[in-house]
Amino acid sequence: MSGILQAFQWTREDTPIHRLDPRSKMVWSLCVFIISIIIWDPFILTALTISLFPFIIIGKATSRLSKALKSMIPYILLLGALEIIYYGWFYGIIATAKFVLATSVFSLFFVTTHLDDLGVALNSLGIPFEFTFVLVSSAKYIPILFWETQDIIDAYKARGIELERSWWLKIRSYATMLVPLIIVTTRRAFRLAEAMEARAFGYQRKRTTYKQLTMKTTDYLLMVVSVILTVGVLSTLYLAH
Amino acid sequence: MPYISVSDLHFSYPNYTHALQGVDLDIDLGEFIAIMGENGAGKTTLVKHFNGLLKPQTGNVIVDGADTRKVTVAQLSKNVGYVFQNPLYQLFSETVGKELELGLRSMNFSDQEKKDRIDEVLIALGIERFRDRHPLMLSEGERKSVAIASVLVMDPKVLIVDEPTLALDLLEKKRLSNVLTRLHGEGRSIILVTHDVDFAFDHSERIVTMSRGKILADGPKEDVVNDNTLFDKAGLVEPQLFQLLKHFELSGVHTSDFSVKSVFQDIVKHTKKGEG
Repeated sequence: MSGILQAFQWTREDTPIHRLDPRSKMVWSLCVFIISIIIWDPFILTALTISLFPFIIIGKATSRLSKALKSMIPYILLLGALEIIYYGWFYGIIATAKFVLATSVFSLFFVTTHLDDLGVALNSLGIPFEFTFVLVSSAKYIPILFWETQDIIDAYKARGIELERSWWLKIRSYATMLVPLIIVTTRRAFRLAEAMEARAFGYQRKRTTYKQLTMKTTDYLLMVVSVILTVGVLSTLYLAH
Repeated sequence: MPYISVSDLHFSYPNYTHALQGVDLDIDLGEFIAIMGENGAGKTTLVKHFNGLLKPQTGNVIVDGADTRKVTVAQLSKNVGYVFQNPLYQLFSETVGKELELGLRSMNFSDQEKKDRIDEVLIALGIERFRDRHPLMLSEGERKSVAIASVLVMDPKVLIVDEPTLALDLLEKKRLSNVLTRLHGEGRSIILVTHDVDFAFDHSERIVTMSRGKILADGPKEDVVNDNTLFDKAGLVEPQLFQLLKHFELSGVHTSDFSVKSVFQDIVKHTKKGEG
């Protein structure tokens, strides 16, 4: 589980991919996502997968991504099995590959984009600050929530209860463990709300930001190439049908 | 043979943090030990190996003659109790009484035996009046006592208490101090994981300091605290009593016993000698 979490956590690196504007990376990852969802052609999907490699290598995300994919193997296998049963071998394997591709591109986006930068980027696109604040704060608390859940499970186990004894006991125990988890989370939410109020959250509608985003040539280039390729692929697909 | 024996223990978390880098440690029954060090030194990671919550990646942890890799947390927790830093993580029931009963469910006791054990622990910790109260309705210190009671009811030989003095006021700290002293007096091993140098120095007999996943010093508390360099390296500041003594030593007061009473007597003796 922690491997999956890490796949979507920003890494402190100074690479050309990290330095790209979040908006250009957003456009690029959305384009890759759209193609990977719509297209079923194995050659285009292979080309798309290969096109991610330079980003992964330059963005120093190889080990993060491989760890994430490794921890996702059970889910990928389950999904693959279901797809194969439903669609047959060919489409089943392609559908699973599409899932891996879509996950990888979003992982790459989050590994190379700081959540605060994402918030500023969303604000600059006209999304209200309150909304982006909630989004960014929630995302920041996911790892903390994960570690707290682990501590609660540990505390429960340390009371001498063999969770592995039966499935029924496991389900009942997890329901019991929800009590401290909900309490701890609610307390944190209240503390956060108090801290925000103490810092005059919402006092002024118009906000300034410490970090200013600026689009550079490479950002425009990435956006233009991504959009042209996506439109090209989709038009070819439309015309072929 | 020590009750807990750790040899060449290494452990890394999935985020590549090498939390323990070759730890060797022996703990006997009846010892009162404080494990100290800066944040991220590996203290909690180390003690989580004692009741099997973490399993050694390399090296060995032997508890009561059993390799912790081969026994479950449930089996180990009957002998090694663990009180977590945040009591909220380990309070699951709607009353204090039921909270204490939770740990006894897995043990084959009759209802009467369970009741007797719960009564005994509630009285021993002075929290019997909270039996029917919701644990969350109690103060931080009272919750910590309930967390200790919930572990103690299983009658462990070793009690690990992680950051016990965190968020406690002076009165709650005093109450906790009495509880730990009494438990130690009953022959249990107490392992404190703490940043509170004064509390550790007042209670423990042996101090283990850690830094970056390694043990820097391990020995009688006076020896460890006296070694300034090692204490500094572990990111710790000497106990207040020691700091005070250093000032008096400059004026010629010497003491060999580091209890508050003894230091006070030495100072009085020195002052009288000066007057005479």
